[in-house]
Amino acid sequence: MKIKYLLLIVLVIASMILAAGCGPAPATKEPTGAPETEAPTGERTITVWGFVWTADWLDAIAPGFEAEHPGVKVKVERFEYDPYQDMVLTTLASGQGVPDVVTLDPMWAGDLIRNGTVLPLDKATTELNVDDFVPAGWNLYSWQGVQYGIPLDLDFQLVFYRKDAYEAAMEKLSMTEFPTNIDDFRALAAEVTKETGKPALLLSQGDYYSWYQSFLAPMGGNLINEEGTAYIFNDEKAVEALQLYSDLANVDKVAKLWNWDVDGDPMVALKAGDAMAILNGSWFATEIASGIPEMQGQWAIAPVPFGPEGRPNDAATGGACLSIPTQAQEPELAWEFIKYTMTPENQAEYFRVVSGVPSLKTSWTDPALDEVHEYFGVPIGRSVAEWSLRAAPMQLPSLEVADLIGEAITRATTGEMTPQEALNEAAEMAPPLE
Amino acid sequence: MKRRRKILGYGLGGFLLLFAFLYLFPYIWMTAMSFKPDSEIFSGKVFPEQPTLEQYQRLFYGYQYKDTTLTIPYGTYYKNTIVVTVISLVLVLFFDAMAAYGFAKFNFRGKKVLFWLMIATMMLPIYATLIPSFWLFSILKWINTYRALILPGVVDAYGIFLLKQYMETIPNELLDAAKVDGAGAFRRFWQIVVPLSRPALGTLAVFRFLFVWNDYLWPLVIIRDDSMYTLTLGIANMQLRQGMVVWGNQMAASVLATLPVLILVLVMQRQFLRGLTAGAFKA
Amino acid sequence: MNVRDTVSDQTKFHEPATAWHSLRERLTPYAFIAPFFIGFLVFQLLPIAFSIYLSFAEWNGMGSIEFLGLKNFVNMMEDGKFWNALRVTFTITLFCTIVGTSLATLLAVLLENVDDQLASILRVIFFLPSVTSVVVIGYIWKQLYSTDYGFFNSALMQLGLPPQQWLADPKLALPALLIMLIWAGLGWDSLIITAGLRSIPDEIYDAGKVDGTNGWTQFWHITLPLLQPTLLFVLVTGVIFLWGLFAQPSILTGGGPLRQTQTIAMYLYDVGFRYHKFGYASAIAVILSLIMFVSSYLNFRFVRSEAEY
Repeated sequence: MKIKYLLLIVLVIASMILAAGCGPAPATKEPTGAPETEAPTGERTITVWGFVWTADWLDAIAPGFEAEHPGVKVKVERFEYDPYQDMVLTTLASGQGVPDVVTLDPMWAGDLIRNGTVLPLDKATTELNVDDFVPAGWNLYSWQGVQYGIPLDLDFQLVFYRKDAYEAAMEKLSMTEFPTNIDDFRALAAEVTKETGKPALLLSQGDYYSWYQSFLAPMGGNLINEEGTAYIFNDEKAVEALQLYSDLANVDKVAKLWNWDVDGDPMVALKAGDAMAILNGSWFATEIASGIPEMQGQWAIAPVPFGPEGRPNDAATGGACLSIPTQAQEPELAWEFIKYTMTPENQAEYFRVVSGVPSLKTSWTDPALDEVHEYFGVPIGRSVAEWSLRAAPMQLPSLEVADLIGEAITRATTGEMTPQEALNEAAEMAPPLE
Repeated sequence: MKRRRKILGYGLGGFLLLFAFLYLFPYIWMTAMSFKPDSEIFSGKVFPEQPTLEQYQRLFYGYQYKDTTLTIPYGTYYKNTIVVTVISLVLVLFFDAMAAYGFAKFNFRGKKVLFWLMIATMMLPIYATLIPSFWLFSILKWINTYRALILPGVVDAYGIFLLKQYMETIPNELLDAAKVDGAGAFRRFWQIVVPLSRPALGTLAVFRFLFVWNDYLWPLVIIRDDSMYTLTLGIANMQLRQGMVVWGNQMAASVLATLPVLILVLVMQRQFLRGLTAGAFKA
Repeated sequence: MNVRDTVSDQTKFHEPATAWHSLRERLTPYAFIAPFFIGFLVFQLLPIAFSIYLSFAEWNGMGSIEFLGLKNFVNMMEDGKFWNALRVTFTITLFCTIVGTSLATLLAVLLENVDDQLASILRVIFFLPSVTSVVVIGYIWKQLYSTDYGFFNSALMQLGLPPQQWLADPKLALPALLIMLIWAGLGWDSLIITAGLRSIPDEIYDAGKVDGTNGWTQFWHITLPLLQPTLLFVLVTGVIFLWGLFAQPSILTGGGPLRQTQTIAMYLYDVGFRYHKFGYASAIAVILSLIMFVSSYLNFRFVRSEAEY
């Protein structure tokens, strides 16, 4: 009996939807990102894509641009970080709903730059003052002498550590400041682990980005040689860097290996008090403050100590940039917008919203950098700005190479292969360089 | 003898009941997690000590952090999923029934070829057409639309196969009689074949409902705008929320996504089973 | 089966054979199958054709399509990641069809021997995962398996056993995925098998009873042979489903650690949508479609011939 009723209902709904829906019903909702929604009244719109806090900053400064350019509307679209990567890659590949300005992340910008998905910014060197930028930040997005993106923040890794645990251990070892070389750090971390019974550091298993920035670069290694002809991430320095990465977890037993794919966001472990330090860019200051508000005042930051004393770099720097997709509808206006975002005032605003220190040095005079961060109790902006001058630019490999290196790191840390074997294998499997 | 059987039956029933309880455990975990406050998420205990509705409230009112509110358009995900499921179900039933009727009750040139062409593609894995379909939809400018979510799923050779098997058992005399009375082909279809095919249609409806409701790969490829997310995409992308710990939140979203289906199964369990058993499983 | 021919044959006697009528008559079946076949052409055949074309070419989705000949297929033979994905998918398919179907048969048979009311409640319980979104299932199990905060490890520790890295250990990840898949598929398979059991006429069992069979012998000599068509149906649909497995492993493990749970569908997604090698991804799709097609065809023939014994 009941099934008759149900079928009747289904059929009624069916016919209703068919009647109403054959035509425009599925079309009632147009994608918000589509360029065809441009106003026909002669008003011009530029669409700008940003992820997480970057989008909040874009939202904050967009009205200023609209005021300077009457008749222009800035449409900021905000994405979460994880879906954003897929969104950008597939949208730019499909050419539909392409924004005019897109925020790129060094994790995956390399492919887009190399295959011509974003425009070369010819006016970058003439209309912006290159010397105003931290060289490592600027050079990140230049490839074969051409600039493809204007850098926003400097994203190089710092140690975020629990003050209570680390300071107690430092006192015990009579250290006056956070270690600046690897030997001191190993001693300190061992003490922290012993005292707290928890891992002194959380390392991401198979995370090429973190390993590259904080271990490979300070050891003096890199991914590709200077001529751009061969992979060098399996040379002596790289092997040493990977050995250290793996030893911290397996020999010293001071680091907890965290698998992002499986374990999810490591904030979980920090919140539960199961790791006493983590490596992350300065933007993480905002995340940790919102993720673990109850631990306010218990966290501090320091440059990464993973290298010999007196090394030229503490870490390599990444950092997001603004670029213009090849299929942008309004490339001219897009460039005007990027230029507008690169004023010292707007970059200082970036710092205020995102907590990432801008590449644009002229913005550093802003008092915002000296403000005491209420979560950390110190002006983190000033410290990070000063440290950033010692950062080296990252090379931007293809996602495929990044994946291979990530796997090599996992193989080495799980003990399946020696660091040398794992890195050799990755270098062999990597696609040939042009 | 009979008594022994009965006791054996009780023993078996008890064993299966215990097994079912263990089997249900993931659902118990899901529900328990959804009522935990953030502070208890990692306690290692199954049940919350201080149950709260906080995780559910966040789905609709967002996270409060200082002066900002981080919202999750959960209602929109829900709405999208319902719209897509209902429209796609209706279309697929209608088109499949028409085509199955064509194949079951008519002879025409090319029938065999078309039928086997259809059966052949039915066996292909979905990803065989993933890349070209994505390309096709971007050319049509259909990325991030309901159309893109619905239309590829409407092409369902499996359903035609299932319905055709069933419709062939409808006696031709019935249709011929209607024809003598002056009923056109469509009227014969709509007034005789469709009502008589209800059990098979019901089975197909169940199949398609589950497929569309659960589909993940196709929406993942074709939807990039979070106002067009379906529930599967929405829940999957709750993973990272600017440092927010989402375990409880995700489970609350999962409970709400599962509830309507659960109710449907409970209300219709008899028909469910009968529909499935009536379907032409015998190839 | 030939009865269905009579409709169109008979009509010729009843209707006046005017030209218009006969044309209309002849077009009617096409009108019925047309809506489906238009969609079929656009959303199935066209993409398949383009996929085959792309498999011989290189394309990053943006620039021009460069014809490569058989290079993609040659590369595939030497691609360790492709073979790994093939191995993973094959292992999953083999394990889940054999173990899953056996357990489902056992469950279905046991449920038939339980009080009806209890059985119907139990059936609903076992059927639940079939109607739960795979994403939901994936996240629940991910939490259960979590190394630090999951249920399994906290249970192990309470028993005084060492915790395991269920999903992060390359050796444990695939078994962990398999357990979840078996759990999720059990109810569905056993429901279909129940349908098969119900279609076995009681008379056969009664005849068996006269011959003195019971319990195990009855199951072995009567139930199982008669259940064969149903079991084959479960196997065939299972194989099709498992070869396309994507959402479950990608949520549970993301294909890791070390690609130990990366299925073919996931690898294809990576190659196509992350590395932007659409040509190569299409070549993988073509090869797999061929494998699927051949194996399904064989299965299909097998089911047919078996069903007609």
